[in-house]
Amino acid sequence: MFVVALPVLVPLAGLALVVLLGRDDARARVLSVIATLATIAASVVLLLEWRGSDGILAWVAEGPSAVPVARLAADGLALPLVLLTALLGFVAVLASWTVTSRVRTHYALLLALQAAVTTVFLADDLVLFYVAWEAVLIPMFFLIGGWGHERRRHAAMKFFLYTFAGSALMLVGLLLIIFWGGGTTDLGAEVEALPTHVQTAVFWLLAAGMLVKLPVIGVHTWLPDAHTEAPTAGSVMLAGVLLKMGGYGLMRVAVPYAPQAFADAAWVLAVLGVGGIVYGAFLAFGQTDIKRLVAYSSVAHMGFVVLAIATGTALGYGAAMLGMVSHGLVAGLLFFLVGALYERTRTREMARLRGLVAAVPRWGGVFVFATLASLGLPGLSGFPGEFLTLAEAFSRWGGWIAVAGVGVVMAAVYGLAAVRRIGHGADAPEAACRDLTGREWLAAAVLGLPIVALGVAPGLVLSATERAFSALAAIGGGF
Amino acid sequence: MAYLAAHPLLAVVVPAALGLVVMAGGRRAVRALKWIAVAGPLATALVGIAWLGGDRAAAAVQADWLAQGGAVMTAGVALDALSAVMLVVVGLVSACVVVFSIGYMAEEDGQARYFSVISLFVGAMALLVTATSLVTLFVAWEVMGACSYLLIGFWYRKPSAADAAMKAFLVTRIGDVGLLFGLALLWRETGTLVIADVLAAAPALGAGVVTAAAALLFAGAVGKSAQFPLHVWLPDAMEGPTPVSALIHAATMVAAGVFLIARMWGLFEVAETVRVAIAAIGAVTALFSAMVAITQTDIKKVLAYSTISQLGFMFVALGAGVWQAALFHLVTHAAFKALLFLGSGSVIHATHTQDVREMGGLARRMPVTAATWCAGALALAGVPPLAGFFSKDAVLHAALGHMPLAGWALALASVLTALYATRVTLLVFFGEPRHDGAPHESPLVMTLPLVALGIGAAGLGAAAGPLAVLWGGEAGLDATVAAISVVASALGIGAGVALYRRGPALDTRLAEKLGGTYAFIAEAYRIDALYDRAVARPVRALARWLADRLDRRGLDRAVEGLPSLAERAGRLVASLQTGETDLYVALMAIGLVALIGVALWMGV
Amino acid sequence: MNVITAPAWLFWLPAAIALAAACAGLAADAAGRRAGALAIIFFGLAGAAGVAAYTAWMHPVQLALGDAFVVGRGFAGVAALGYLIAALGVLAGGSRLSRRSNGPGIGALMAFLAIASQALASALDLLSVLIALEIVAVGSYAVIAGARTDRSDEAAVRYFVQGAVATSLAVLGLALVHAFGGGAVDYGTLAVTMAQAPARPALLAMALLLAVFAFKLGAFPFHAWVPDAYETSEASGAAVLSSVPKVAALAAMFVLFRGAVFEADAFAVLANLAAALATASIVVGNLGALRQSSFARMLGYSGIAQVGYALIGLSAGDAGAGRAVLFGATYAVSVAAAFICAEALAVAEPRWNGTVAGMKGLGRRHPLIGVALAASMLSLTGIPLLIGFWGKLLVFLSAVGEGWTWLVIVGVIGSVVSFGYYGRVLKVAYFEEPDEALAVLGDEPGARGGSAAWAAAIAILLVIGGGVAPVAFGIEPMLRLLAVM
Repeated sequence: MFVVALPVLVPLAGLALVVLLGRDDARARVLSVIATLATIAASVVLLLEWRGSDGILAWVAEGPSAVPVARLAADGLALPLVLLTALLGFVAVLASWTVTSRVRTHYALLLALQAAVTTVFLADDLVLFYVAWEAVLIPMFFLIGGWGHERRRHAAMKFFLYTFAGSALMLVGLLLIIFWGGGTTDLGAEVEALPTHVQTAVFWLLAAGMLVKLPVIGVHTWLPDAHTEAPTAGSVMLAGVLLKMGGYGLMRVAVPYAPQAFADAAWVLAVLGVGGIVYGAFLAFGQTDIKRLVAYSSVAHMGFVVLAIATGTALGYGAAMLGMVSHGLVAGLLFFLVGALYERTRTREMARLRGLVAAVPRWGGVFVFATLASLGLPGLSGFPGEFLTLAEAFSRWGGWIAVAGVGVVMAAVYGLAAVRRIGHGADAPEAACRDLTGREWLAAAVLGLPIVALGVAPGLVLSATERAFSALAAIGGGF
Repeated sequence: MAYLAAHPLLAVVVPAALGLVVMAGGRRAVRALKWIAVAGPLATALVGIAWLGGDRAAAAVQADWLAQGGAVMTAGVALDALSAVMLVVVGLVSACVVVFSIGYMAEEDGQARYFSVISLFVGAMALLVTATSLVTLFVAWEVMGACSYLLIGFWYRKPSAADAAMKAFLVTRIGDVGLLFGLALLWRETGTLVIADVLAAAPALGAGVVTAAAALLFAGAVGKSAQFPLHVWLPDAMEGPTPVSALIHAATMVAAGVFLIARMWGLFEVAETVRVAIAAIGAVTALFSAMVAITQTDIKKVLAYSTISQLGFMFVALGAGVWQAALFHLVTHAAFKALLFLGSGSVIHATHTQDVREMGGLARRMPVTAATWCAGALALAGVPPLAGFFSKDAVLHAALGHMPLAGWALALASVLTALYATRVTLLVFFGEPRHDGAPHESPLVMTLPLVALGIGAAGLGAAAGPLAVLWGGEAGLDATVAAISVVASALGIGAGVALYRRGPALDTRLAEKLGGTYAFIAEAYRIDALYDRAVARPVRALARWLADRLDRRGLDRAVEGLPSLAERAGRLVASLQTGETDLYVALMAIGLVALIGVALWMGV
Repeated sequence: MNVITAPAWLFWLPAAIALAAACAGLAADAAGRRAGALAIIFFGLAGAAGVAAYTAWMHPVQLALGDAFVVGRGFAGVAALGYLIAALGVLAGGSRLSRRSNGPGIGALMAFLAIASQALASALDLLSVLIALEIVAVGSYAVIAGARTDRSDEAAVRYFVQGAVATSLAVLGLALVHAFGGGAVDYGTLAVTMAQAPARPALLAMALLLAVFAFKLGAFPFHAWVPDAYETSEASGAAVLSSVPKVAALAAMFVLFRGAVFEADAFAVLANLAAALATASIVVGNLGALRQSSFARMLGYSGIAQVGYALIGLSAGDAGAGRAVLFGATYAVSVAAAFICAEALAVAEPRWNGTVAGMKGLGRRHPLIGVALAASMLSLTGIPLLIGFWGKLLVFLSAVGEGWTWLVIVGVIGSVVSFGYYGRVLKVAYFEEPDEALAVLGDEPGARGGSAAWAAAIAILLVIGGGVAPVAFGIEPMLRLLAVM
């Protein structure tokens, strides 16, 4: 089915158009909007096609080669993230409306990034998976370094080196899989179970790349710098989709190829997850820079994802997917809002921001909404995933998971404290600034509506992932 | 009506949808829409009434809310005797509050926000009481918390209101985490969160599990119902508009903890240890906050501590094992406390102050408010034949019968209750006027709800019989308990009249005479300060330390040190490059010797 | 190896074209037409590359000229690549070389280097290999010295001194093989005779020959000439020096060490020696490159590390050694592209001092050079969608298959470290503001890098096209062109 390739090819075509035709800035913008809207359409078409299929839609490029690398497949594990990427790609384009320097290049990089991330999610080939995984680094590196804030150069280098260090080790794991699997690079191929000691090596090598990407605590220190220094669109994509590659990779590759090792390692992941939930929340509370606060909250949210995956149950995987999609929407929205604020006030220091709900009520309203979603308020998208995660993790490991409860409380603490510090209170902000514009409303709505929809009906995601996760739980770990 | 009774979801959806409509309508449309918003709570009440008045057929909606790989967490709502009564109570009280708000909030900015959140809240409360699944219940529970946050912080420009909103959310969230893990534990042990199934499985669970689960659920109740030691948020929550206090922080949401335990009775019935704890905490809370109520000068603070105290009464009844008594008290309390709060709102509206020392003699100027207030205050004090008398009697009966110590504590608390009720009534409505200006009676839109609630506060005692039929349990008075109750009320009222007949001077004298002790009580035992020092500040310091020291200067610097470490090693390597050929050749020689050596050593 | 004998022209035609072009170029130079001379050499080399590439695509591996040489597939591919890079070197250096009297001579030297490299890569007897090595070495000295600065003269002499040591080792190794191999030097005979030779001298010979190749490739500790040579030669010359002989030497190593000259027992020893050399080179090269301020010197050190990755392949059995040649080819393209960028920059901004720091704002001033530079740096790092990734991938894959997982981990960590310096180039070129003075210079009309810009454009096509094509068409075409197995 060629339709599987569309979510990758459409942004690439858009990229080509922007490069060739986007001579003046306005045209580059319009072309990017069209390209990202078309990507959303393509993803929706893919979803609809997929609904009528038997669970997996695959597409293989017909080349002169007998072992194609360009092999894509869409299943329940990939589709929610493909759609998420399409949505956030559109929001990222809207978010970079105010970029004035090298506009064409900026949009070209954004579209390249979108194509690369989508390829990660759709890749049905181990080599292509890795190729796309690393290819993501290139546009992101240039986005951070070229359009970021004060310490952008440092942050760009750090982002690249840090995550490359993880994924280079992941490559070794992938190579082990290819070798022990008899040379096939087909991700969906049925291969004999790897020997136990190989599984252990494979799992941890893969985890090195994926856990850095997520990130889990200990290897998270690239994230606050990258998120904070990246331009708004970069932060939106980084938090919204790039982090999801880690969780996706664990479920797509690590668990199926090394189920035994995964089962043995599950408790480590759980400890890392709980640690992230608590540590990330405390760190978020300790920040003075609003963007860093949002960045650290991602560490906490990804802690939930790791914990959910560690449970090894279908419901746990479902929780991880819910958590990833939700965080993509919520963190995307938060970064978008913070970026919009920075454009107006030229500061991210919370000490210099105050009384914003009164000054910019619409911005304030959406910010409060996003904060509530971020702290896992039921009725909004964050809750179902977190709730399921805790329930499943508690079921598996019992009492000590309750430590995560500290993080749940702290999530409310840092979120509401941020609202209190910059949104509430009597003081007027230092400079009068404009409230959300129509374009910004659109971006907020594009993310806000799914946040509500998923909060009310998490089944929208879970019904898609049902088959994939049932199968995964059946292989996974023998828990 | 039959349609309503068969579709319990309407009780949730109608107010919630109206809330969204009001929100979408925005500033201009709210002038008209706020009248329509009254329909939300009325619909909620109607669903309950329709069910009670109809054939009471089972009406349930269920869905697989979170399902994957065969494991299912069901969500659902249904009507039964408990939820229907609660719908009626919630709906009618809310309707009164919304109507009252139309008058009370007429001059405020942000009315669209106000009425939409109130409507949303009513929907959430309706969802809570009709929930058949603990997940659904939890969702409703938290959404109410969020609505409460938004409403307490309605005047967000005021720092104290903003702080109070945050505090309310955070403190209750501590309890909520307990509840959350209670759910997790039940999920682990029973594999379901459908309340009926959990309760059916409860007796078969081990004692430890039952105790743990019940204790965790109770933790949630402690937070939501503002019981010691998580009560600290409720007095601060008075920063919200007064009708909000009436609805959320007196009549409905704070009672959710009581409702939860009643709903999960099958579990608590077998968790005896926890029930003792419930009774103990209830008794302590009832007693100590009644004492605080006597010392308060802010009319709303009096009512706030009174609410905490009355909720303590309910918890004692639960601990004693008679949930019907607790819920009966919940129902009457909803009526008379909402009445008192709205009454205080009417007074504040008229006098623009909340300090009882600046009021006095308002009965002449605000006759309707005064009359309805008196009905509420007497009901609170437990004077027969007002509603409070009957429900408190039921509570006392239960407590004295099963947990006498807690029962006597409640009797003592009843004396104090009557005392502070009398004190505040005298100070506000009687005696010499101590205020400037010319306060006058509130408009009809505000007094009508007062009258409606007044009728409830006066007459709900009659509901004892029907409720007993609906819920099981006993109705009717026990002569001994009634006598104790009447004596307690009489003592309290008598003392109150004796002490406060001449105005608030006594407070000052007491404060002088008792010194530190009085201040200690008036400041609610300085628990806030304790929390600030023992929890809030250490957490803040820890967070800052973690962020600044451990993460940035520790972990991050260690990671960032790697490149410079590598660079230093690189300088070492580069220093081999001296530009002297003999060194290069020597290096080659060393390499050659090593290669040959290893080759021969390995190969032979 | 296949026993079919190919038509002889498959082997000699490209070399003949290149040789003829070089001679014609020199003649044209003598006639006083320097630019024309360089053009002749360029088109001749390009033609030679085309013919060789055609051979690689159309013909399987087979013997040529009796049993003396091997041709087809990767062997022809390596040759094609040598001619192509030499052509690009001439093209890139064109603007500067055409202004100097020795310009066409340098161009001809590049052609000779490519021809000698073809011979080195495909010779099937030890004597030819060593002679080819010497020719390559002499050509290299000349190219370095061709920059005509004091420093380049010094570097050439130093390289020559070290080269003399290496030559003596080579002669010693040859003598051992000759003595214990029954007097034969051709691989066909040696495969039989060396099997009966005593183990000790055979190992000794192998170690000596390995050291010779390690020197030619610039592996630690035989690396000392590399940074000086790259830095002091002109960038266009370094583009050829750093790439063409290396691929050829890797191919020669493959044929020698994996072509049944040495017995199976020796392989285990060889694998370990290669692993040791690889580890040392990766560590030293990467660390050394981190501190370099000169762009060319940085590439020199990084080249030491890159040889380390190739040696990982030599550790990993026959398949791995074949992949090492392919890796060498992808590296050659990438590093040549990097030097071409340097040449283009030197032409566009004559005041550029050759340092990385001097590249500030390059990406904006010279977009074309910038893109080529970015592509080559990322390719050298081994980032996917660029050609360098595929070489590394295949080498690492075969090493993992042979159980060298730890060595591969060393390799990937080395790759990560390498971004510390490759990435710094990108950082400076793209994220830093151009210096005022240079910005003005860049705006001078005509200062666009001259013919070097054309070379850079072709390099972009090779680096990015070679990196993207395997995604779209599979890895097979690349294997068909460059695999020596």
